[in-house]
Amino acid sequence: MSHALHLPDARYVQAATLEPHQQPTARALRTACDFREQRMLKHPYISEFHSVYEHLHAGLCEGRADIVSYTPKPFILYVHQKRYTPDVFVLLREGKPKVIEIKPRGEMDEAKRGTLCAFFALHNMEFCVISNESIAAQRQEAENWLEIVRRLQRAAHVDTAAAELAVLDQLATSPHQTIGDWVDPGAREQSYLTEIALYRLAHRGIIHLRLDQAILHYDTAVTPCI
Amino acid sequence: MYLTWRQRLQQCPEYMDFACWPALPIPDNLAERKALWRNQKIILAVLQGDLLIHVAQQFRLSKGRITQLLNRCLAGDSEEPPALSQGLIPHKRCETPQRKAPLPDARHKGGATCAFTALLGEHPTLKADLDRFILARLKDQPYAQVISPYAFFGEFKRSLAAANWPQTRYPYTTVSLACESVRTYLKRRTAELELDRLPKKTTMLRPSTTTQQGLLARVQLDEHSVDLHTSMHLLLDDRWIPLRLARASVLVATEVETRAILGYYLTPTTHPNQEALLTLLDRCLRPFTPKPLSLPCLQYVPGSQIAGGQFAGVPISFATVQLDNALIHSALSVRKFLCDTMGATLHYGFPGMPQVRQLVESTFAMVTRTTSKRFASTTGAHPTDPMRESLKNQKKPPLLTFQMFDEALSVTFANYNATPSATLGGSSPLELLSYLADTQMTPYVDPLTRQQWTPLLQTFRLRILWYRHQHRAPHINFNYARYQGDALAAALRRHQTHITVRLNRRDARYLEAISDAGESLGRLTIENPWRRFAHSVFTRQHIHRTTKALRLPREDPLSGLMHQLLAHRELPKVASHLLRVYQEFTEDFQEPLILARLHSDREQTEDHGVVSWSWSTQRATHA
Repeated sequence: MSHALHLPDARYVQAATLEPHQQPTARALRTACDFREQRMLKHPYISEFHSVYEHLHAGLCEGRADIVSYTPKPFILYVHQKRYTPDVFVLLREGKPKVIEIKPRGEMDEAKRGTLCAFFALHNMEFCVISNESIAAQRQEAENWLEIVRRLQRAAHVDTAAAELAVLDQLATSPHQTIGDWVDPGAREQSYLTEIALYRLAHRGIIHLRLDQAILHYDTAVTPCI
Repeated sequence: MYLTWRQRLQQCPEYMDFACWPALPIPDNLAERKALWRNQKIILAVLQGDLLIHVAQQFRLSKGRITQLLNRCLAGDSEEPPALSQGLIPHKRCETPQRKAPLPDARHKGGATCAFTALLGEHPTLKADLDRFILARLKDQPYAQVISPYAFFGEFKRSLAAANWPQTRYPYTTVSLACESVRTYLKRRTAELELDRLPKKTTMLRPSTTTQQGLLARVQLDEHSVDLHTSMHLLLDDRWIPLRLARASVLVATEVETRAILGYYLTPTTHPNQEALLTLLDRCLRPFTPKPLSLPCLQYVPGSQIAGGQFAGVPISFATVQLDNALIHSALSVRKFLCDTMGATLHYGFPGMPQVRQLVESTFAMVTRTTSKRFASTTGAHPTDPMRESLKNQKKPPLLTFQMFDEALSVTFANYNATPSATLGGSSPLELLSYLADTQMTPYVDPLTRQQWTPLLQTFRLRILWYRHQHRAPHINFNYARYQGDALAAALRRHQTHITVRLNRRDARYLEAISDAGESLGRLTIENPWRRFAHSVFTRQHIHRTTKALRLPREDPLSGLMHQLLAHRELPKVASHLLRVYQEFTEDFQEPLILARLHSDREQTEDHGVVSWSWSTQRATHA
């Protein structure tokens, strides 16, 4: 549904700064919601999420190569003198930065939405509302990405430059492979560097892992992103 | 239409097979068990086609009695199901009782059996009045009375009088005016109306929230206060002194997919702190070592163990950790270790929803059922609750020692992991864990990374202070104390203004200094009064908070704390604190504890100035 922008509405929004920094969650709110936290890669701090859908959305953002970084709860705004914190700020490789609100069924007060659209348009950003249901439909993919983020986080100190080149060389000769072709279930230690290299290449968008169907497994398909 | 037992069998031939009849709970009473067993054999014989006369002769009963039993089980209205197995229970009322005789009055006197139910049917407004009385309270109407038997009986009498109920008819024919029937009706009807008023559950169509979960994808952590007092023994001046300990807490980590217990930790306090939680995490990451068992009745089942460390080739790691909103779960040390070091997700969940972590909560139910609640408990609903420990026994230390209880928990958890469960398709948690480890792509952690997973070692970045004009050595301040060492001079030579230090939370006497390049620079040692015994960060904070209140000596605060606790050792909470502090000072019962006597003690005893303390959580174990 498209909304006609009424730019004068932007005056109803006040913000001290639009520099995206995660706003800390108060103890009262932490204990009142379905609170989760995890250290992510594209937001390299302990990221705080107030619902499962915000957490899954972060997982999806990690998997999208066109997203450079994102910030949960990026800034505090006052809309019609009421405090409001958007859910996510997303910086894209190409295009305007996005400010995203995640809502059940994508429903938001139309007046507030119009005001916020006008305000962010004035600041060269785009405001959009994403439904919980659309995120839930990609749950498997999001959970797989969250698991990959955990594995990469643990292997932050591991140097995989050589292993990445070897993976790309092999993919150039036979483009349709599975993780099991590199990772030996009987000797995980020997293939550990290659496994991490695979995840890193996928995270950077150089190769594609088929994560939307099933849990991350030796049978997961690996293809180059060309 | 009424059906006899023969007609019922003709209409429903499936009842000929006794195996299809519902099973009954076996009565505890031996006489009832015998009667039930005999009735069962009679029915079985008739259903197999024996003549009634032969069955009656076999069981030495009349033919009529056999028919009566068959009718109890099978006869009845054709529209309603028969009593079947329920009819076999001696003296059980299988039909809803109804009054057939008219209500008693002055002329026709009779018993009051089922009279109250009949009265509710005959009186035009009584039932509606009584229901209105209860509903008013349930709906919280402003005119509602408190639901009590007294008020309800008043309403009953008012309703009878309002309808001009004859004074010669029941209930006026009884002395009690049916007050007991009114009371039981109130109880039953209130429950029924409350149930009716419950909101009807509507099925909400939600998007799919279940996905395939892998091994170690979710781990649940929680702590539970054990309603049990234990004891320990203190060897003081060659004399064993038994002490009663306050309630302890057990912390457990459970893997969700396989239901395997990854680790547990028993701490002698009702309010465990972040160090207890970090110790639990540490135990989950270390291989399980069976405890030497002191009681012959305790034994590990072959193959049983707690799945910590590396099990079936899978190094234990955490992906999503489910916790409740307790403050210790939000401690920075816990969050930093789980999120930063292990890369895990912390999931705190909604408040007041323990069902989300039902697995770990059910583990506590198992602990309660199998260990703690088998002894006299510390809590109860009433001072005379039979579960409570009697006053006579409360005066003496319990027979169960802290160490025995720890051993019992170890055996319980290890054996649980090796016990096949119907929920897991007949396999035990450990078997399932091995199977999933072979078939799934579980997260692998290289040994180098795993070595760095030490929850009790934490790093801090601190500023180096150097008062050159006072000709003093450089130092750092940490946790109310000053640390010095050659490492600081080395860091200053490298033009560092800050230094990274690594702290062992169990022994805060030393800090390991690390340069900005990641090299170890050596050890920093704490200033003198704190150097005598290993102690945790928590103990030092506790001393700092209570120095004034407890009048602890500044020249030796650690010994002062021990003396202070020892002076009040009869109090269970103090004894528990004493055990925890002793455990720290002796580095987990490894080192002897020799304390200097306080000045006042020395004057009184004229001793050599030192006294040796030995403790045992189970006589003569740590002496």
